[in-house]
Amino acid sequence: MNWQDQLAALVPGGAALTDPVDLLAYGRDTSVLAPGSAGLVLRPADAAQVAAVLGAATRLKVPVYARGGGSMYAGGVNPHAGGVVLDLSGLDRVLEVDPGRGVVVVEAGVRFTRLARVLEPYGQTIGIVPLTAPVGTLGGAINAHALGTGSPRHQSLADEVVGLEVALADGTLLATGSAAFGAGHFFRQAGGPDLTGLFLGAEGTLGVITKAALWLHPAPRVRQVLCLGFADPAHAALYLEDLQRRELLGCVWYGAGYEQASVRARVRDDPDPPGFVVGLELGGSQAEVDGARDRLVELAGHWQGRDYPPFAQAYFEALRGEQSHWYTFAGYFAGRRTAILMASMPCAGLAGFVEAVGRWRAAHAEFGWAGATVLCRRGVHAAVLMFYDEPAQWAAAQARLAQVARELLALGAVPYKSGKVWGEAIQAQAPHAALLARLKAALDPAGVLGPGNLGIVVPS
Amino acid sequence: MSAAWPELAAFERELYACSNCGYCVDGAWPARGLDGPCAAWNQHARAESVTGRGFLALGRALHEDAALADASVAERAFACTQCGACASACPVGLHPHAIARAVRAGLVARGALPDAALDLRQALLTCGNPWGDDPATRDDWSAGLVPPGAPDLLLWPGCAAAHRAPAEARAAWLLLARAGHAPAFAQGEPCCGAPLRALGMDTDAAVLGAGVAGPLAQAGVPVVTPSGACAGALRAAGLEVHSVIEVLAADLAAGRLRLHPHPGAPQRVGVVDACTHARPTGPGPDLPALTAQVLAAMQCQVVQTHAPAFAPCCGAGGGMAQLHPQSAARMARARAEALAAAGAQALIAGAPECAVHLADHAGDALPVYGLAEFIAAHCELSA
Repeated sequence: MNWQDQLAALVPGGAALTDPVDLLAYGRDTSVLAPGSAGLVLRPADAAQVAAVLGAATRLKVPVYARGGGSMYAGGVNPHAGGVVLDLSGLDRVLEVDPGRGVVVVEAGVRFTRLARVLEPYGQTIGIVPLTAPVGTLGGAINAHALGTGSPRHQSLADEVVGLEVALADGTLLATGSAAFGAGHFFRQAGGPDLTGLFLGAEGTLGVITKAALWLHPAPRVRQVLCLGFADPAHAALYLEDLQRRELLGCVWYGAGYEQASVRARVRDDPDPPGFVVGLELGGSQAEVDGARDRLVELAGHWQGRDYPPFAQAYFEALRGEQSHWYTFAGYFAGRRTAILMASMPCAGLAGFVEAVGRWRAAHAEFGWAGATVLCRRGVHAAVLMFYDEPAQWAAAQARLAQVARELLALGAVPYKSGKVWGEAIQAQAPHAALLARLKAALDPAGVLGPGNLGIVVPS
Repeated sequence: MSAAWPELAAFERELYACSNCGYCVDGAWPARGLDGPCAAWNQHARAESVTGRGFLALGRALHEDAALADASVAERAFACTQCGACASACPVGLHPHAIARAVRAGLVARGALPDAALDLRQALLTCGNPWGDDPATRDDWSAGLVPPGAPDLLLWPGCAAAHRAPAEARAAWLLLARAGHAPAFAQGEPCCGAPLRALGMDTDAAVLGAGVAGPLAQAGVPVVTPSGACAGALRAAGLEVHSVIEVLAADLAAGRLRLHPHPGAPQRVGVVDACTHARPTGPGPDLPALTAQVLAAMQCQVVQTHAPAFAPCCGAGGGMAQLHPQSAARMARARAEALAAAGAQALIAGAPECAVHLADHAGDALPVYGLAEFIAAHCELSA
């Protein structure tokens, strides 16, 4: 029996695809990276099947790439080493909603917007909902360190995880956090170091997430947008630092920063738009939102900022309203592919980031460029959006993005949304990479889990 | 451009503009009425090769001369209902279903069709309907009806209404007549070619369409049809075509027709809009909205589980009912059961091709009607 048949036999009731036509769509995610070519796609029906497949894949030394919605842009699901793609969208049950503990437990393949519908009658939400919510899965987003709505309050999805169930390469299932002691999910740290953290943002390299427990939060009853225009990115950065330092983001459910070029593209009738715009979505009770709005506008004045409704009217209100979750960067630049690279930085890096995007725009006009920032509880995430044509510019776009990654590191940014796009940068940090390699060797000695992701090399 | 697949040349920009986001596969945004737009993913196979993202990947591979077996390509390309929900869901404005149709056309050119597609073609060409029903029975729906001497429009029922939903065809004619129109009706009509176009058989479709358009044009009046598929084919042949829904809505708005629901008539009705109505390929009236208006005139509340633009196909389209009957049946049952669970007391299908299929497979979930049929069955009419 060949390896495909051996693995397929482990998912009765699931789907097993080997026809080359079936495998085509599983070669890539939304990233600029070249697609891979798997020899098998499996769609397990439950966690036990996932664990069985991993155990067998380890014995057979077959690479395994776990895939949710395939909507991420870091290349983590591209099967560059071949092998099997595990489509986890079949693990799609919401297992438990516990308002008392404030925890929801879901299988890894649950999509965010379907979870939101389940939570709506409870008046609850989870802490982070990414812009890919209609297609992204909880497991995939946890694997990739998702951010989005909720980041100004809760930083990233990883911070909202109470515990996990993970299938390990040896075929066992591991519960983390308080659930490891059979007490269910109510506490992240239990019995020593944070083992949950090992698997957050790990891009499936140390284990495959099959279940996740997340904190619940009261869903805001009122949402309102506020756009603030600043003289330049440096003043906007000082404002954001001020907000974060004073912990004034309690009512801010989403925040994003826009360079002047982006503002000018949307607010066509303002001949002199602000140098930088911060868009905020406030949420809470009406009184909380009104109070927060006044406070935020007043504080902006200290940093040469002002209320800037035109950007809200032209773009941000639609983005956060009816357009929220719409794959906006794709929609706005229809006809070209979008390569995205995300990095994390302190607020003070904002001006340098904006300047760098301007430099790339001027020096590499064969591509379209945009820079965006997402506000977090501390620091910001900076997104470089590079628009290119496939297939003509594909190779050049990959090379250019690799150079952009090096220049972002030089600015003091660090990798975010790792996958394969930051592999080189991760491996360049010797102590960090060495520890990752040791963890990899311990948890995945055959090196079958997500080969190439994070650039980890299993020491021989 | 691939010499082997010239049909894909027109889609080159789209093939490489796909951002791979996955909305077309299983996008879920319940607040906007989007919750799993792809009927084939939902009910036929959990393989992306039968979804919009899969057809774009397949199109790219074929365009780049990838060596893929025709039989494998055909099995996936002919598992699409051609409903266009993927195009509605696409944030980038692509048309994956059109790429699937182009692949079908390529397979036609290569003579690489599944047997079921060839059988369907045979039925359409020889009998003028996909079921192989005796063409001599096509006009039975109009028994006893007297065509007017000076018609102001011509009712084209289409094969689904004429052969399998005669009550809908007859009710449409009666409603038009009660509203003061003088509706002629086509007799001895052959197939308009619409199902053949969905199969990628463009030459056959064009021949049939031209054959129908000539005599209809000679009538010198607009054509009115309950069928969304026929409307598209007849318009493509150069005729002025209106939907029965559009005409009824106008008649109601102008007071030319008044509806008086019977006591006990269903008050909560689920609507399955025809994909051709919900996702039109050109400008025209908003037929789902007009359907709701017509039903409101009957004091019916419309129950919907999806926004019309994103609703997954009932399984009637794209040859699905003939090529993959079990999957098509599951698609119909899923729509009916979802509407029943949402509180609908009856299911109204916006086009007879959908009504026939839903009636065949909805089981005991809900009674199924065409719109005209529902009105005629549950209303007194006055002008």
